[in-house]
Amino acid sequence: MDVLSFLLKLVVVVAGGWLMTTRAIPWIFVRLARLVGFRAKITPVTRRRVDRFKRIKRGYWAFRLLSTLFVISLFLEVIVSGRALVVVYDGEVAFPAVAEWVDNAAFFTDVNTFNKASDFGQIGESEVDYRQFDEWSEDPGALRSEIANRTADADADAAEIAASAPTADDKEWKHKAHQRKVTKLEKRRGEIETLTANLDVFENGTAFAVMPLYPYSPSEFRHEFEKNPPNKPSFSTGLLLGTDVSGRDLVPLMAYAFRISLSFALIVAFVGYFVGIIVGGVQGYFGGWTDILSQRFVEIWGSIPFLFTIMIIASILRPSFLILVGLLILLRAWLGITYYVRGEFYREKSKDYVHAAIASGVSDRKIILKHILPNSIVPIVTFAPFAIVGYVNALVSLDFLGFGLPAGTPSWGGLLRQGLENITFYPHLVIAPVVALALTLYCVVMIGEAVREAFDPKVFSRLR
Amino acid sequence: MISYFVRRILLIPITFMCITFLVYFVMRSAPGGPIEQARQQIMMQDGGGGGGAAGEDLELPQAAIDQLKRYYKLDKSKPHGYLIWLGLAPDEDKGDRFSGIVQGDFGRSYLWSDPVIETITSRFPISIYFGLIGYFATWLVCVPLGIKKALNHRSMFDTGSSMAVFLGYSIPGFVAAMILMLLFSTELIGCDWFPLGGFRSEGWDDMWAKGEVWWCIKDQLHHTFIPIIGYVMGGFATMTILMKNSLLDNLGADYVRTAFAKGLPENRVVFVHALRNSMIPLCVSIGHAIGLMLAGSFLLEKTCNIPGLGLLGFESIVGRDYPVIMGVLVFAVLIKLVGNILSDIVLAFVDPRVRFS
Amino acid sequence: MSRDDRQKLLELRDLRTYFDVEGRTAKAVDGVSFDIYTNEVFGLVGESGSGKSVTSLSIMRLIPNPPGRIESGEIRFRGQNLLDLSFAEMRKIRGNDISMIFQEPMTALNPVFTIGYQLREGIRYHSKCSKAEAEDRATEMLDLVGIPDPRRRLKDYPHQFSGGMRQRAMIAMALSMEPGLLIADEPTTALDVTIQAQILELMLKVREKTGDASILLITHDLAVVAETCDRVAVMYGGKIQEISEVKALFKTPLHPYTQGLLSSLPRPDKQKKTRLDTIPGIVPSIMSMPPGCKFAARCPIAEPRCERDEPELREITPGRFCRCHLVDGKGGGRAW
Repeated sequence: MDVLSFLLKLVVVVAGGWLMTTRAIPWIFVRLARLVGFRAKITPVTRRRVDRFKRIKRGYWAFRLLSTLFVISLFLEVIVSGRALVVVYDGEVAFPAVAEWVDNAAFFTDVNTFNKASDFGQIGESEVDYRQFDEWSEDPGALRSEIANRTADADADAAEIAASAPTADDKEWKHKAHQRKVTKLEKRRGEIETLTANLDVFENGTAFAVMPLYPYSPSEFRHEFEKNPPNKPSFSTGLLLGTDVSGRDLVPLMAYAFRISLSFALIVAFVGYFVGIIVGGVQGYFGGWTDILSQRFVEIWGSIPFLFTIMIIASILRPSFLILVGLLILLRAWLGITYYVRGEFYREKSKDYVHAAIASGVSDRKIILKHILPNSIVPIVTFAPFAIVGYVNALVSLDFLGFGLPAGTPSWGGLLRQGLENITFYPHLVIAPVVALALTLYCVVMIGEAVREAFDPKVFSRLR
Repeated sequence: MISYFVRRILLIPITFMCITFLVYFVMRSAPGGPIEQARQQIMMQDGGGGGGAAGEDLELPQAAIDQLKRYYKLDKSKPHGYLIWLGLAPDEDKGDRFSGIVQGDFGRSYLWSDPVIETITSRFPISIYFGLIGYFATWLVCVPLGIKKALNHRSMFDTGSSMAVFLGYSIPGFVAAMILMLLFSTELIGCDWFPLGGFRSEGWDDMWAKGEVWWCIKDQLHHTFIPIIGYVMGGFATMTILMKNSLLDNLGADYVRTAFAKGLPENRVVFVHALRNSMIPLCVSIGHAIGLMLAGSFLLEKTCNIPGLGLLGFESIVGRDYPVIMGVLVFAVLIKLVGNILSDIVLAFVDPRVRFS
Repeated sequence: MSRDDRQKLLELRDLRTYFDVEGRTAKAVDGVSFDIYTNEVFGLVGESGSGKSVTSLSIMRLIPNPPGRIESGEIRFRGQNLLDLSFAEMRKIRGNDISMIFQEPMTALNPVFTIGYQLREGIRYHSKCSKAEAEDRATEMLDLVGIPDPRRRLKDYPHQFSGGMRQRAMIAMALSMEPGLLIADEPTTALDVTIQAQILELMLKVREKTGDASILLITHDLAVVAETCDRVAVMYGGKIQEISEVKALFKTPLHPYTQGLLSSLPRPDKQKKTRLDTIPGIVPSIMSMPPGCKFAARCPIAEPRCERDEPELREITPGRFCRCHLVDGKGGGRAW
C-alpha cells in the first residue's frame, strides 16, 4: 500500500512535470506573446538552428530533463514537504502544503498555512504533526497504542505521586509541589481522554490525509534517531542521503537547493543580459564619446575583484536572496556580454542593410530592435548556458565561504562547507552536494555545447 | 605603441582610485565598524571577568569613542579620510606626514597588529607559487589536448574527451580539490596518500634548517599535488576548448590553403602556420588568468587550508580586519590591472598586426 | 601555328567533385573536361557558384575533406594523372609545377609571418637551397613584381602591404619556382578597379620572364577574358557549356548562356540608351540541379527535351565545343 501510493505520487509528479514543461508552459508563452501583440516570425535560419539543436541528442535530452526538473522543482512545496496536501478531520478540511506553495509563489498574498493541532485530533496549540496524523488515520491502532503508552505512563506517575504524597506535617511548599504534580497529571489524563474520544473519528475513517511524495521539509530537524546529527545515509533508517550537522534531512535540502541555485542563476543571467545588451548596444550603435567613456567605465568596473568585493559587502549586509542577485548583476553579470554585443553592433551597423535602413528613414529604435538585435543574437544565446554555470558556481562559492544566502537556506555551497569540516567522518556531506551540483551543471553544459554547435557549427576540413 | 602603454599605465591609478574609493565608502558607511568591534571586544573581556550589570558595559566612555574615532579617522569626512588613507593628505597622528598606501603604509592589522604590508608580502608568494604552477600545468595539459581534439574533430577521441572536459567545466576547482581530498586524503577508499590540506608539514622550517633538503622538497610536492589539480580543473575546460576552436578556425583560414598550395607538408602547415596563429588568444589569456588565479585562491586556499593571500582575505573579512581587507583589495586590484597590461604586452609580441592606437 | 602542334599541358577528363552537406550531395563540379596547352592563357568563365573555383582547387587537390571529395575523373598534368599521386608526390608538384593565386589577398597571406618568410618558405622547400639563396631569390621576385626596395619590404608583415601589393607578393610567390601552370582564381576581383588592369598585365609580364607558364585564369569578368585569354571555357551549373577560341566566342557565341552573358555586357559599338539585356531567373541551387540542361529554366529557346535530357558537350567546329541540343555544326554554328 505504502509503496503503491508512493509510486502513484511519483508518476503524478513526473507526468505532471513533463506535461507542464512540454505542453502547458510553451502554450502559455505563445498565448502571452500573442496577447502582447508579439508575433515572432520564425526565419528559416532560426528554424534550421532549432532543428540542428534537436538533432544533437545529448543536448536536447539534457534540455528536456533539466527543464522538466526545474519546472517540477517550482512545485516543491507540494512534493517535498512535511505538510500534508490535504487533511480532513471530522468535517474540517485544510490544504496546508498547497497554501504554503501559494504563499511562497505569490509574494503579495498572505495565505494561512497554520492548522492548530487540537483542531485535528491532536494535542496542543502548535501546528499539526501531519506525518503523525497520516499514520493515525491510516492505522488507528497506532493511536490506540499511543493512548495505551500514555495511560501506562500516567498510571506509573500516579502511583509515584500517590506514594510521595506529603503528610500534614510537611512544609507548605511540599504541598504546593504536590498539587502542581497532581494538576499536571490531571491535564495528562484529560489529554488521554481527548485522544480516546478522537479515536472514534480516526476509526470511522472521517480522518484522512494525503502527504506529499517525500514527507519532510528542508527546515525540519530529524531528531528521531538515537545518534546525534549528522546521521549517515542508510536504508534501514530511511535516510537515503543522511542528515546535515543540524539534523536536517539531505533529500529536501538537495531538492530545494537545486531550485534556489537554478533560479538564482537564471534570474542573474536574464537580468544581467538585459542590462548588458542595452549597455553594449548603446555603445556599439552610437559610438563616439558615449562609447569611449562607457568603455573606460566598463574596463574599470571589470577590474573589481568581484568575489572579494561581494564577500566584503556580504559580511556587512548579510544579504537576502534578492540582494545577492542584485550584487552579482551589478558587479559582474552585465559586463561580459557588453563586449560581444558592442562588437556585434559595431559590425552590423557598418553593414549595408543598416545603412539602407538608416537612409530610408527608419528610427533608431526600430533599426536596433528589428534589424541589428536579431543578427547579434548568436553570441548572446551561445554564451547564456555557460554564464548560468558561472552563476551557479558563484553562488556555491559564496555559500561555501559563508557569505552567501542567509544561514539555514538550503544550499549546496553551505553543505560543502559542512562537508569540508567533517570530511574524515561524514563524507556523505561532500558527496551529496558534489553529485547534485555536477549533474546539474553537466546538463547545463551539455545544453550549452549543443546550442553552440547548433548556432555556430565548427567544421574541420582537412587538407593535405 | 609606447604611447598606448603609457596611457594604459596612466589609467591604472585612475581605475585604482575609483575602486578603492568605492570600497572605502562602503566600508565607512557599514555598520559594525572598528568602534563596534572595540565595544564587542571589551564586552567579551568583561563577560569573561563576570559580574557587573550587562547594560552598562555596552557603552564605551565618550573619551574612548572619540579616541577611536580619531585613530580610525572617523572624525574626518569620508573624502578627507580617504585621502589620508591614500597618503595624499597629511596625517595628524603621524606628525602631519603623508603616510598612506601611496607611501606603502597600509596601517596595522586589528587581529595580529602587524603592519598590513608585511602580512601581505609574506602571504603573497604562496599564492604565486600555486598560481604559476597551476597556470603552467594547465598549459601543459590543454594545448596538446586541444590540438589533438581539433585535428580529430568529431572522432571518438574528440567526443570522449569532450565529456571529460565538460565534467571539468561543471565542477569548480575547489570542489574538485575537495573530491580529491576525500578520495586520497581520507580512509574512504583506503588510499590515504596525500595530506589533508596545508602548505607544508609542521616542522618544515626545522628540517630545512637541518639541511634535509630532499625531505623538504618531497613534503612540499606532497602538499602541492591536490591544490594544483584544483587549479588546473578550474581553467582547464575553457582553455582546452579555446585551443581547439581557435585551431579549427585557423585551419579553415585562407592562408592555410595558400601554404598547402605552396607545397608545404601538412605538419608544417598545421604546427607552424595554423598553430602560431591559434596561440594568440591563449597567450592573451595570461592576464585574465592572473585575475582568476586570485579569485580561485579564495576558494582553493580555504579548501586546502593554504595560508596564501586568498585565505588572508577570507580571514580578514571574517574577523572584520579592515586595514587587511583594504590591503588585500588593493593588491587584488593591482594584480588584475597588471594582468591586463601584461595581456596587452603579450598580444603586441605575438600578433604583429596589433597597433594600439 | 595550328593548335595541334602545341603540347597538351593539362588534360581534365570528366572531373567530378562533390560536397556532402547535411546529408545531401552537392555536385559542384559534374563532369568537367578541357585541355590546356603549353604557353597559353586559358580562361574559365562563369557566375559565382558555377563550380569554376572548385575546378581549380581540384586540380591542386586542395578540396577540403570533409565535406568535399573528388569523386572521379582524371587530371593529367604532363601526362601524369595527379589523382593517382600520393600526398607527398602531390606536394612536390604544388608550388613547383603548378602554383596558384587566390582571390582574397587580404586573407591569403599568413598575418603573423613576414612576406620574406612566406616567400622563402616555398623556395627553400622545393629547391633545398640555403637561406641566403632563398632570400636573394625572394628579393629578385619582389623586384620583378614591381615592389620598390624589395630587400627591406621582405621584412614587412602582410598587413603593412596594400591589397594590390599583397597580390603582387602572391604572384611573386606563385612564380618563384617557375611553374608550368599558374592557376589564378579571380586574382583581381577583390582589388580596386584601377589596380586590376595593372595586376593582370604584371601577371602576364612576369610569367614571360619566368619560364613562360600556362595560365588558367578563373574569372566572372568577360572583359578580362577578352583582354588576356587565348581560349576560354564557359561554365554553368558545374558543367562546361562552351569551349572556344576567345575571338570566335565573342564573334559568334554558340550557347544561349554565352549569348546571354555577352549581351549583358555594355558595348561601346552598340547604341546608347538601350537597356542592357539580362538573363532572367537565377542560378539553380547547387543542391537541386535539374535533370536536363542546367540552363533550361532560364533559356529563351528551351524546348521540352532540354528540361528532360542533358545535352552532350559536342565539338561543333574544330576546337569549338558546345553543350546544347539546339546548336549544330552545319550552319557554322546556330541551328536556330
